[in-house]
Amino acid sequence: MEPRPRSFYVLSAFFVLFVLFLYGPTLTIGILSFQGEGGGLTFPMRGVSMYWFYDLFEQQAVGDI
Amino acid sequence: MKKLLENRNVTGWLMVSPLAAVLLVFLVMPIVLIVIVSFWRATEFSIIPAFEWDNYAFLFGSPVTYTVFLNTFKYAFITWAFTLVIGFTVAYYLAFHIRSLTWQIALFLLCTIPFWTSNIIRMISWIPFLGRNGIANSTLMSWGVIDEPVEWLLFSDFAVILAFVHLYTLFMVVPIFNTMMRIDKSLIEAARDAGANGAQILWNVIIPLTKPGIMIGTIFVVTLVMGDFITVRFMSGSQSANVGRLISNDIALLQYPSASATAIVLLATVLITIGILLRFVDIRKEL
Repeated sequence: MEPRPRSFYVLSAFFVLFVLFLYGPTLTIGILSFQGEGGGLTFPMRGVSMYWFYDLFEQQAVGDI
Repeated sequence: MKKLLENRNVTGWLMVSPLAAVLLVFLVMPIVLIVIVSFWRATEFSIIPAFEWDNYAFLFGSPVTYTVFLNTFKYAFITWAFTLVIGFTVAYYLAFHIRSLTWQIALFLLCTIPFWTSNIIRMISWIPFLGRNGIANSTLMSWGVIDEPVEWLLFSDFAVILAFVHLYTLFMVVPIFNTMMRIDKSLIEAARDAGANGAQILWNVIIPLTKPGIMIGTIFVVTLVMGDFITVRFMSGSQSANVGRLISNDIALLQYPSASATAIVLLATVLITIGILLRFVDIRKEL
């Protein structure tokens, strides 16, 4: 196998950045889903809890009658 | 009956008819209905079947229409430029620098996984990232790059374009990657044997051969961006508008004739844009 050219490493770095760009926001949403009760869609987080996951299975204002 | 079915002409028509029926009912009919409704008369409280050009006259008489259409083209063009550069680079890396097919497929799948969630979730997830106290601002402040939070990160044209690029780059990567994978590797070897360096191979061999893929990706991105309204609404904080928002506002106000007229004009604009694009590259060769 011939050795990798230098452009390979540059493009690899670019690809990693691209994947981070694709995943980053979704991961932040994942982290934020563990917000405490008072928190919203913002940082800094107000405590860590599973509150919103319990809330998901409670009765909802929209969609449930 | 058997004799009839043996007639190749009849079987040909029978085989075409299911698809033709589906297209007729789900594509042609709705558009015809929209065209019809666009000529109806609307007042504040009623919609009356009629045939008049008032909706179009109002649409073309209003300066807002031109600003909004210009804005739509601006979004489409900037998004297209960014998705093309990013998409081409990623596709080039995957197609020519990754040597085993397994890795190519694995890395390609890695790029598609974020698409398993909805558009809106991926769009909204930029908000904690870009907000006044969001990750971007706090990181920049802790590095000492800026002293005060940057205001234009969220609810601005920057945020709209960023969300578009984030949502639609893959639509550029997929067709370009697909075309690149079909390039005969011996052509590149021949170019190298003839003394071309990397940049020359890229410019004179790879780019001309990937043009159909670039064009298909361009059509995807341009039509998606021009038809979008929810991204513009969320990411600009309702401060910017494109044609999609014009239509959605009309619908919210129950002004269906006006919305239909705008939709027809948008449809015509997109079709003309694609018609112009197809003049440059013949994608039929590739299909």
